[in-house]
Amino acid sequence: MNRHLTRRHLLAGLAIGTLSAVGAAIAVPRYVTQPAAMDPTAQLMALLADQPAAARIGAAWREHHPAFFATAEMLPQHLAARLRRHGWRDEQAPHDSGQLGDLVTSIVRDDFRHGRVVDVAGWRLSTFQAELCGLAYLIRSQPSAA
Amino acid sequence: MFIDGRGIPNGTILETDIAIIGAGAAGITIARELIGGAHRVALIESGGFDLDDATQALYEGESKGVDYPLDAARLRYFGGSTNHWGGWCRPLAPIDFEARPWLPHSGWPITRAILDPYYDRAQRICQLGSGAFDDAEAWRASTGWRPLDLPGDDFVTRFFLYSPPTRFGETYRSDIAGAGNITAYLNSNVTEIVPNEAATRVERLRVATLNSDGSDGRQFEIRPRLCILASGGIENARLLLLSDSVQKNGLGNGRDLVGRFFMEHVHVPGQVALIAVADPDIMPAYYNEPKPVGGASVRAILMPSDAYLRREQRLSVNIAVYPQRPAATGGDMGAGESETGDMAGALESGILQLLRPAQDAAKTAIRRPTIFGASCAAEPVPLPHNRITLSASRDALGQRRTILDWRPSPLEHRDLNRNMDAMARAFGAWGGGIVRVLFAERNDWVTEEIGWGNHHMGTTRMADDPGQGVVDANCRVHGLSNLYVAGSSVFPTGGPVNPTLTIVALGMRLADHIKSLKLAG
Repeated sequence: MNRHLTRRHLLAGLAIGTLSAVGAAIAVPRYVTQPAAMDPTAQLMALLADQPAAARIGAAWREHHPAFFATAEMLPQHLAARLRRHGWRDEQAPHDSGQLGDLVTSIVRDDFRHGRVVDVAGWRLSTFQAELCGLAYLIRSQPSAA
Repeated sequence: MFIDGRGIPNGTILETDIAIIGAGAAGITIARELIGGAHRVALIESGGFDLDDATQALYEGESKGVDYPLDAARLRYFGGSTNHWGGWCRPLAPIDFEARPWLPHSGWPITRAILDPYYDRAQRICQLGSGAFDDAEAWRASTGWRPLDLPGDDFVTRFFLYSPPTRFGETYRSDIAGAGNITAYLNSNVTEIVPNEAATRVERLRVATLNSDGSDGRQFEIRPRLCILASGGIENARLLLLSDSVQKNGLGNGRDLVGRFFMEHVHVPGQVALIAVADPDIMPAYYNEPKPVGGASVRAILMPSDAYLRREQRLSVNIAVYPQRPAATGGDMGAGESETGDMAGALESGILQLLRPAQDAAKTAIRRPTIFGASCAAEPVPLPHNRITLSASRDALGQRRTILDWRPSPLEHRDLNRNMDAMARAFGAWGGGIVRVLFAERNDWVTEEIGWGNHHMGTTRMADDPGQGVVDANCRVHGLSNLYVAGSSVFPTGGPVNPTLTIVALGMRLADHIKSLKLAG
């Protein structure tokens, strides 16, 4: 993965558009149209049905935890590493959203069980959830790559 | 039999075996237990059968610290504060009786096991319809509902049973009226408990009546062989302090403990937390409100487990949840906006989608995203500076009024905040909800955070050591052979649950003890 996350790089992943389990009240479901990219973080973004809303959480997190965002450029690698530690295999990609969702479920629950929790304007999120939203914020605030 | 004290001639002296001062939950319970016994009982009540403004005004007083409504937080007529009781019932837990190193002045001289048989009997008095409490299987058999499967053991589901609520004055009035050995004196205010010169036993009670038309009331005496003070968690202390003709600091107050250690359950107004869930149906209905199950009315609440309290050395809390509103979704809300204009609200629609990766996608969909509110009652810390004293101002009977100085401790604030974090972790680890904590982390309370439950506890606390408490394990006032105290004023600690069931259980235990005594002549 490139060290510097580019909007194009990530948007390529966002094109995955897996079937969302989030109902119509949240966003219109999207359907798989393309093979998945190998980048697990891109597939993670595809799990978010409402990325602007996730980006707002990421922005709020940044506001309250500026120190973490000093290393924001490492966020994609950090998330990918966590996925791999919980069983993600790059060579097996693409995964369907259900498989990835199960993996995320496992990571998030593990975060909460072990107290890896952050406060975002009162909402208690797992660090993985916050990082996911932080990544959404970074993507949306990234200038388009050449 | 009922007698209106306003019709008793001035100077009358009445003799009885047992005098019970106050006809609330404790006083009526004890009186009923003594029905048909060998002892003549005088049940002495300040009010009549209905609320009377002039009598109720005898409760007015002053507050230091929290601005507390001394006159509105209790009721002064037959049945006492059960006349506005909400009916929440739950026994204190065994841990609540223990001396806990992290909780100053904790530890009862009795265990929960000693109270167990009395709790069983108290359930019937409070008309609970069942004693199952935390037997979730018993509730499941009738409803199919299962408690939330929050992982770990930090937060667990516990159950309250609701009394109808029992209005003791109405429900048990006929029992008192028909009891041959009980005389209930209404509109009769005990103004002093007078002991012998050595202040070792009670000899007489001064009683005064209040005429609402402003004319002078009557004054008479009751001379009991044994006296039980059962006038409520504030008034018990006040009356002992007012009884100063022999012991100048107040009766039973040789160690300056009477009135100290006042406790209340802080109920933070509104919600302490919000819980975003994908669908309200994931919360079984008995979490939302009391539900009729069999012959009982049951409500599930969330509490920290004993293991968590011991491990983290925390005060306890009980958390009631209820569906508050549909959650805001992307469709209802513009970026950065919310109906309340706050940022956390604006994040709500984004938060909801995080339930997706935190849930098993195949099994749970976000259909009706809902925000639940969570309200709390926090365990209080018994502290000597929280206390009842007497004011220089006087009531209509010429009695010095109450001053309540109550300031919830920073420890209560800290532990409530930490407990909210623990609950948030439990919901997160479960995966079905995401919690927004509304109770800010601070070093101490701010005024708008402090509500209360009208639970007045601790002012005549129970301890084996006279240097640590006002009454002994049998609720007898240290140093006085025939004076007992009933009610929540004897609680050394208050736990996190409503006190009425324990008041009734302790009252029944005291009645059993009294029945076992051979009263001195």
